[in-house]
Order: sequence, then C-alpha cells, then structure tokens
Amino acid sequence: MTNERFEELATGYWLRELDERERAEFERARAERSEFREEYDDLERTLDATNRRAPFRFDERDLAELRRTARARIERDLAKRNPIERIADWFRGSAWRPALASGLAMLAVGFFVRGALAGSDANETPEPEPNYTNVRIDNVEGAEGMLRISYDAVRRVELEGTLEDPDVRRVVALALTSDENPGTRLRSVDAIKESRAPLFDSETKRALIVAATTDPNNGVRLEATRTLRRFPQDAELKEAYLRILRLDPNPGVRVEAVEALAEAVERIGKPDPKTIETLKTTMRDEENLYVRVRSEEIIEGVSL
Amino acid sequence: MDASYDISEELELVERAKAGDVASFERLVFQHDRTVLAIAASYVDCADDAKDVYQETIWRVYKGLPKFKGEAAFSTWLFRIATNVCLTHVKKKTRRRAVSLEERRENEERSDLEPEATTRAPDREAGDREVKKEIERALAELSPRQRLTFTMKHYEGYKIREIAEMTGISDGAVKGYLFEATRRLRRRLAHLNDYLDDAE
Repeated sequence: MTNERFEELATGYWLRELDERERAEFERARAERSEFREEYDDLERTLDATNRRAPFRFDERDLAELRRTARARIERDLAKRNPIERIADWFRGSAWRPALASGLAMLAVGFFVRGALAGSDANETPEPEPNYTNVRIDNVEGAEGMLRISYDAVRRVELEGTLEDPDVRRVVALALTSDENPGTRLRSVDAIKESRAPLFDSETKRALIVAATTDPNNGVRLEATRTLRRFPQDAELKEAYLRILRLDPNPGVRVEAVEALAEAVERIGKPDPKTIETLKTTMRDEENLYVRVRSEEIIEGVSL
Repeated sequence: MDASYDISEELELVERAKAGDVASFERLVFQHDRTVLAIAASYVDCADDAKDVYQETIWRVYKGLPKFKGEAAFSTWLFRIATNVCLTHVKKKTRRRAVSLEERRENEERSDLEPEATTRAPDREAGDREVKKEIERALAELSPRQRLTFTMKHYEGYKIREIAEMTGISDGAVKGYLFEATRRLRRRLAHLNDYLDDAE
C-alpha cells in the first residue's frame, strides 16, 4: 500500500466514512506496518485537537428570541406590502380556487343590481386615495386639543382642528402608519394620546394597532401600545397584545403589552385557550422576568 | 406544535404560507430551525454571526417561498439556503479581512517550507485558550466549502450523503472537500502536537 493510499484511508477512518471493505484494508495495513501505526496516531492526535473547539450551543430561550425577531421582521414586511402585492400573493397560492365560483356569481349579481339602480352612474370611477407626505403636526397655542396639521398632497395643505374632526383623524392615522419619519409617527401617537376627544373610532384604533405591532421603531411601538390601553378593551385589542407579546423584539414593549393584556383579560373575563397558550409559551420562553411573572399571574387570575 | 407532518400536509402548509399565512410558515420552518442554528453555530466563529446566519436564512426562505416548487422536501430546500447563507457570510467576512488573511497565507507558506523554524507549541500559560484560537484560525483558513463540510461532518455528525443533500453538491465533491479540509487542518495544526502530548 502506498503512503498516499494509507493517508486517504486513515482520514476516512478518522471521519468514520469507510465502508466495511475499506476499513478492513486500513486495519490490516495498520497492523502490518509500524510506520502506518505512527502515521495514524499522529493524524488522530492532531485532528482530535479540533474537538477542543466546541461550537456555541444555543438554548431554547435563545431560539425563542431568534424566532421572535424573525417573526417580527416578517410581520413588518407583510404589513408594508401594498394591496396589489397581497392580491398577487393570494393568486400565487391556491386559496383563490374555491372562492372563484362564488366570487364570479357575486360579481354578476352586483352588475345586475348596479345596472338596475344606478343607471347613468355606471361609468363613474372611485376617487383615488390622496397621497399624504411630509406631514407635520403641531399643537395650536392657547387652544387645548387643537392641532395644526400640514402636509403635501398635490400642493402643501394646512389643516386645523381637533381629533373630533374626521379629516384630522384621517391624516393623523395615515401619518402614524405610513410616514417615513419616526418622529412624525411618534408625534401622531402623542396627538392621539393627548387628545381629550373621544377617540374610539375604528380608523384611529386600527392605525394604533398597526403601529404597535409592526412599526420598526421601538419608541413608536411602545407609545402606540400604551395609548391602546385608553381604548375600551375588546377581543381585537387582546389579539394585538398577544401578538406583541409573542413577536416584539423589545422587552419594554412586551412589558407594556403584558400589562395591557392583564387589563383586557380582567375586563373581558376569564382568559380563553389561545391566550392561555400564548401566556404559557411566554412563561417558558420569555427572557424578561417581569413579563414571565405577569403572564403567570394572568393565568392564575391574580392581579397586582 | 406537532412534532412532524406528512408530505401532503407539508405541501398544504407551503401553499398557505405562500398565500401569506405566517402561522403555516412558522410551522414549516420551526420544525427545522434548530438544525439551521446548529449548522450556523458550528460554521461561524462567534454567537452573533450564528444569529445573523439564522435570521438571514429565515428571511431568504420567506422571500423565496413563492419560488419553492416542492420538488425536494421543504427541509432540504431550507438547509440548502442555510448552507448558502453560511458560505456567503464567510465570503463577506473574508473580503473584509482579505489583507490579514493574505499575510497569514504567506506566513503559512513560509511555515510549510521551514516547519521547525517557524512553528512553536503555544506557551503553557496561554493553555487551551490559545489552542482553541489556533483551531479557529485554522478553520478560517479553509475554503468556505471545505470548512462547511468539515464542520457539518465533524461537529454536527452528518454523513457525507446527508451533507451532499443539504448543500446540493455531489457525494464525491463533499468527500473531496472533506478530505482536503482534513489534510490542511492536519498540516496547519501539526505544530500543536508537542503541546498536546505534554497536556495529556
């Protein structure tokens, strides 16, 4: 046997990748020749040294944290997608097939009803959604609750009013969910939080939920979650808190969410199975001690 | 979460995940992400890098899902992405430290010519820590594919067949990378033998 062949077999033997025939060949050569024995001992000693480098091992809590970060990134991406992308995704999947027949039927009925009732309005097209950019929100001095809002649409627009005004609410909600500047998004949350107007319309609530669950800025998510606690607690908000608890990478936001969830559960009544499951997962995987303890308390129905 | 699912359920989960159902996506990915993390942890040289590889892998899987045709098992496709991310990660790092590696290679070539003169067992006081660093350096000097196959085989215990499937290269190529990696490591770490003898 050549030295080269022996080295090849010795390496395969060390890697535990020889078949039966090769192993027999290797063992015979090693038994017969002392230089091969020395050669293999040397190879084994050197390569066994690599065992001293132990790769990092991550525990379940590390994995839970990594999963949470990954989920949050995906959720943010989904929230950012425009309606056309969502429709394209839906068509790429197979969920549309069973819905197609009923959709076409609805469409036919719709055309018939519209034709019968609207007559000459058949060619009317819906008004396009205005595009708000460069939003600025200020308090009006000396007028409590009054906001001055300016933004660029086709040209710069200025608007003054309280959050009771649906136009003001609409711009604030849009700025909160779509403005590129985190300062403006934060200012939108502040405007909602500071308002004395009854805010409980679905548009403002929806915007706050989107911001609390998907905004890339920790401060915006925290303030949005905090502000949601001022709304009447219902199943939709409870769902949002559960999602934050599962997904948010920031422990401060999760603390706020677990407190809000405790309130929501107290108002709604006994936690449902999904809430209990999420809380149990939190008790197991959460790195923040306070969030773990509060999760346990919610399950047990104990309030601080 | 169930421990496993069958092929038809996997395809259904894939379809739902493609339609934007995050829960189905998680069900698919979280069955196998421990392995992704273990491969990353064996391959890179610090915990933060392993976490980066994990996140990048999950992101690429999520973004690439519409292109997944189901021709291979989802796990095979996932691991292939993970191993590609590992390779890319090291290439990026290699570019960043190209100069220092070049210097090291030159030193290695010199040490190949004059092993006695330039290699020395590490000082006893530096102990195991120095040995570990030396092993880390030796692994870093392997080509990305040599390093990947070696770490998957030696630290994660995969068979050549499995590595071939996970990386999308042939058994023969894996064997080639593995044997060359082992040969190079042996040559590169030979100077530790005296230290290792004394330590035993």
